[in-house]
Amino acid sequence: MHSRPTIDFEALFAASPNPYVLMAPDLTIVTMNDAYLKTTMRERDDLVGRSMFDAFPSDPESESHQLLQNSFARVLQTREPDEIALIRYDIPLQSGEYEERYWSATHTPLLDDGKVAYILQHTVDVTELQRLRTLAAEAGHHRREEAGVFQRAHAVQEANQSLALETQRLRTMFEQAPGFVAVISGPDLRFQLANAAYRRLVGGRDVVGKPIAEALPEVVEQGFAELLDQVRTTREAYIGRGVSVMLEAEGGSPLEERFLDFIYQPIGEGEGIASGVFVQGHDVTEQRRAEDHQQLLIHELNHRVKNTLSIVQALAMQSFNDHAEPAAARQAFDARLNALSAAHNLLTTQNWEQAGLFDTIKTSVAATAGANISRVTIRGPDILVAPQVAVSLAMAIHELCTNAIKYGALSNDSGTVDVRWETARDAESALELTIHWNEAGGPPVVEPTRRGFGTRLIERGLSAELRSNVKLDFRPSGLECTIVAKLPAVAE
Amino acid sequence: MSLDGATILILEDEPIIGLALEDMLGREGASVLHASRIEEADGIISSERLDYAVLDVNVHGTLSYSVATSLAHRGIPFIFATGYGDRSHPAEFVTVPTVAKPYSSQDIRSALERSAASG
Repeated sequence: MHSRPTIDFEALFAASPNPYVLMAPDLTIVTMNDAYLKTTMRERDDLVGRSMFDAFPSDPESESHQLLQNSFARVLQTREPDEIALIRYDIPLQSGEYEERYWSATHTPLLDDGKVAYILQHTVDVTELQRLRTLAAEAGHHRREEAGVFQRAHAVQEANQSLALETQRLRTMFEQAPGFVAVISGPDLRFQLANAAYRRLVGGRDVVGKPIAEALPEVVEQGFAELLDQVRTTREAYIGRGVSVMLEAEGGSPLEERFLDFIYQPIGEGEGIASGVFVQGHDVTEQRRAEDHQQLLIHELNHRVKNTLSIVQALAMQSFNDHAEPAAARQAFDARLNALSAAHNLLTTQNWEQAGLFDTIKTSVAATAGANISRVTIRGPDILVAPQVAVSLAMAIHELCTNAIKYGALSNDSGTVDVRWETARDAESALELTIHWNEAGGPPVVEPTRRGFGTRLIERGLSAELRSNVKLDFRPSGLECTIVAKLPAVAE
Repeated sequence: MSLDGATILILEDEPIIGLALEDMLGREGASVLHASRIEEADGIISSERLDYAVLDVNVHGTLSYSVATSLAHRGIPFIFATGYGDRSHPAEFVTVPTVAKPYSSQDIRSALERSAASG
């Protein structure tokens, strides 16, 4: 038995009459054989290390350029050989002019560990054939067969091109889709595709080509790989709504909670295990946060409504007490509701965060005294008070006003009320507010024998609320009420 | 059960509501000690002899469970009065009778009865 000589593949490559050129995945020319140099009329040193498009420049907008670029892209994407049946690619001459050339090209990926390590380009110069065919057509002599081959080749090419365009369009659509899209396939759940939104979701990590366990280890721990595999093996789609997922905002950064709406859709027809899973969805984290915030607001609103109902209930109980005459009671209740409503209106304009003291007092007087407000002087520094203080104060002023209208300075045509206040810092630097309510010009004042709700509210309620002292002095010349209150801090 | 002659602590930060509750209880013959702040309530508990207490849960933004704890230690029956949303008490107080605002005097009376029975 004769032992065969070892084949020297490099020599074979170099000696082949077929032109070959080898490129790196970034299209840098690595090497080529002599046939290639001959057919392209170039020198080896002129080509090695340069990018294909740099070494053989063409208008990026031209059909030829795009055909070539798309073919390379397909090879890198699919890791399958790709053919261009007919491509015009002109070759520069020594003179600097270009010679019209037609080529047929095959691009074959050389894989290393599943990844494209090189692209081998095999080109055949078909310029002569193309020229003959054109001449024949011009001369009217149809060389049927040859022309037929070319026409078929051209037709296939056009079909491929429109398919490629369509694919490109879909790819662009996926890439730019507002929702996240990914295609995951195989038992190791390897990413085939992930669009911009998906990459943003996973903190810009490069997931394509990697199995999920390597690309996104944190989601495997959270059971999503198991879920994907279940969809793949059972072919039953999974729909998730507002699902909480902990993701790294950037590779290696701490986990952050995101809420996602998504679907895992098995890919492919037929029975048995699906070839892959189509993942599509939306990040609804912001929406979820808005909902939580809204829930909080509704909660707060409910709290206020219940509280207001309790206040209304209390006002009703006080107005319709055992001593009250029904018509007067109803009137008193209406007036109190009116004062409460005016205070609420005022607070609503300030988002229920605070109210100006001047407006609080003026609004309450206006709601109670109506046109008689012209006989009430209101002056003092316009400080801000907390909502609860504003409501209490408004109700106290309402009671003082009501009392003045019924028995005091506003019960005749000439009496006046002077409301003024000043503020000071106490020893603990808390703000101390002193309000003086002084009536004059009314009928002689008699101290009431029974303390009504208004008086009690002023004396007790307000005092408790404001941590303060209230002094009611029923002077014959007119009621003098002094309220000294330590104000709780208002949120700035 | 009669509240006649009983001394009742009210912890309530809304003065108008406090006043109405005071009147409700006053009509039953009880005398009322009113606190509008947690510290005020603490002071009253340590210095006065109390028969019952009615605690607003949220007092100026602070929960009143510390007051509830002192009352429980002293064996003074008490109830909670709450607005919306603060009805999920800590485990030790889940059985405390709780009335929701707005409440009637009947609500308060029967809740106080239950607190006395379980205490």
